[in-house]
Amino acid sequence: MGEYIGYAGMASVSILLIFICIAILRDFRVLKNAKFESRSLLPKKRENYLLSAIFIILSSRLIIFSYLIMTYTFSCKGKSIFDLGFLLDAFSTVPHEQELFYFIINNCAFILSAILLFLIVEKKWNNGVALNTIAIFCCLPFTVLNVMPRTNAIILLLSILCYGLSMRRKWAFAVIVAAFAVLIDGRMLLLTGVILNEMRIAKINPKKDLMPYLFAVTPPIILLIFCFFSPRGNLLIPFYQPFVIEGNELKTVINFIPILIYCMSAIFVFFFHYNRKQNSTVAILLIFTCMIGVFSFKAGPIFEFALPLALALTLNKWVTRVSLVFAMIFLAVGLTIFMTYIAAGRGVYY
Amino acid sequence: MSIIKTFFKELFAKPQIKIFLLTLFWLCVAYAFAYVVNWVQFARLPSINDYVTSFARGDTGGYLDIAKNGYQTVGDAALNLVFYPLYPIAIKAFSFLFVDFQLSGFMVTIVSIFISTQFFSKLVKIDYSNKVAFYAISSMLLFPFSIFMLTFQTESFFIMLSIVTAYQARKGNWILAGLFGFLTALTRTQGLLIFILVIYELIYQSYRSKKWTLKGLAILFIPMGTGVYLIINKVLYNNFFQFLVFQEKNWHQQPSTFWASLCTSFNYSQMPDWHLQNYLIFIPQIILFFFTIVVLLYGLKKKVRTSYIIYSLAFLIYSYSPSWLLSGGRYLSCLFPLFIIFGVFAEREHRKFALMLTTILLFTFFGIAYLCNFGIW
Repeated sequence: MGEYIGYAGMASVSILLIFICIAILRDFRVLKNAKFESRSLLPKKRENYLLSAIFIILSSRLIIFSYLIMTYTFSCKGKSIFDLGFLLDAFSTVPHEQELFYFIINNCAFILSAILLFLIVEKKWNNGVALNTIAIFCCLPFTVLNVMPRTNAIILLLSILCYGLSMRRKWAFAVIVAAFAVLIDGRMLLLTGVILNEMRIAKINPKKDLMPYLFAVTPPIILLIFCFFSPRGNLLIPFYQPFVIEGNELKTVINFIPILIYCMSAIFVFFFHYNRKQNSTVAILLIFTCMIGVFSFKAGPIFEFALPLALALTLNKWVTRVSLVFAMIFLAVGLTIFMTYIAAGRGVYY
Repeated sequence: MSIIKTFFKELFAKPQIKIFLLTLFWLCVAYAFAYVVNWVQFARLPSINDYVTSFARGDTGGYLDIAKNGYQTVGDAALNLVFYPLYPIAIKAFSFLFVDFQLSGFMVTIVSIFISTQFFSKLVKIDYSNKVAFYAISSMLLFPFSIFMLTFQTESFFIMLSIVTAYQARKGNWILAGLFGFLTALTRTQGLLIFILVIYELIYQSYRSKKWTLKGLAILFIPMGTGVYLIINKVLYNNFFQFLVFQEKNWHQQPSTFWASLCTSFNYSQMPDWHLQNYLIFIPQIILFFFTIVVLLYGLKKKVRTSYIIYSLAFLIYSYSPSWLLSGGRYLSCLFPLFIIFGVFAEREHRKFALMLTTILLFTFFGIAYLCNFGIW
């Protein structure tokens, strides 16, 4: 019973925190715009969109934390429910004392990536698309994996940064970011494709201006150097996935169904965007993600911002809201399944 | 110099007679009530010594000892390091005038209550009517655990400093806010949290007026208060966090989480050996936690200043974080935004009656428990 009092305490503080976030928004929104126009849920001013996005990001994190702790606790009977260290143990293989550090870094990286994504989408499209993207992005169940002490959140941040820089035609910076990302995860080599596509959209003629294309070769070279000097001396190390070889992952429904759902959505959205030059990078990112998903049988997509962005671009207001509701249900079900599997020691691969 | 002049000018410029009389009346009634409780308890007229001793429970001995002898490094007195230094310094300062340390403790408490009610009234009146201010102060004085404000513990002194800091922050006097915030942080461990309120006010006011002043940097004095205390630890024991070692060793206190504390409190409340404490400590502090959350939600609904709510939440979480929580109620008696919300709530006639009746009954109950030494800390 005492445990439930603890839960109730957590839940009540979470609710209060969400209302405090709203109050903070209210405090700073009042200055720009005394009232919400025509009682609409969506604000009109630019700053208000940004604040709303930040609110969505923070509250989604908060919900995920509460949900993680609760689901995991219910899955692990006989364990101390308030042992955060034990909870973190379930996620990681890193030394115990470093876990909290990773935890903080990953969450900061995720929040930064979401804000960055908002700014990028806002710049290229508009406020509404940016806010919808963030809402769907934060509701995808894969985002829960960014809590864990792994490299995913950092990779996400770098890939969004690279995408944003290449959209703004800062080729050198984009390539440097891609090179860094490649050093963290070999699959980030695909960012080179993103940069090249942006160059194509920008109509950079290699005969007249070769430098950007030369820059773009850097990530593959960096990867080759890394592989060459890596202690295991195996050029395929970055693509080496031991569990694929073991062949166990297909038995795990949890690894297969998300990929299936993702691929189906991606194919649908891809055909919508394929002929639109402006959005073709989004389509390419989706295809890359599907390729990675299919070939490595990993539950979460690596460019996980691509699908939310594509959905936000594709769907009209009404359908976006419906899809958001579905995404939320997906989030709840996905979180429960993920956590149950993790707690049962079955593993979720990302 | 001009800053100090401003402070005293504000204190004495418009003395609020009604508030002063209310405070005086409450002090007289509360101390008379304590006398009657002692009379009934001892079945005779209590001596001055008995009467004073009934207020000297819990941590009071530690504070008086620091005031007399300073921090010690040997014997049981070494454990007094867990108490912050400013309140004993104030007692020491008053002892030059009143000689006796217990009397000085009483005087610090009484003066603190008078100043805190004056400034609390001014603070509430920035946003609300006189009526709300009156009920806010009444609920502060009659809060179930306000009996601690009459003793030689830090409650009255701390609430005075935190209210003055908040008032200066609301007025945009950042240097004074920093200075009083520093003193607040030097009084109690929760004092550092006033920094949250002040920094939110600074950002909010600067954003609103579109004027960012360098004077705002003065609020960085606040963390220095805690810094001074940590340096005292370092100087005496070569460990910045020696107080944590003592707390664990003597009080079995470790940093924990509020949910773990709630869980522990509930589990202890089920133990038959702790029968009396169930009703005085564990069950009240669990109820008080959820009650505070509800009150803060109500405050948000009524658009009470966001900085107060954020500060309150931080204060609540921090206060409920010790692994072996025994003083949840006492800690919350220093949370002044709670009383502002009570004041807002009591603005309507029927609510006023309900609120006052409940608080008076509970104040009496916990007051008797404290004075009769039933184990309420």
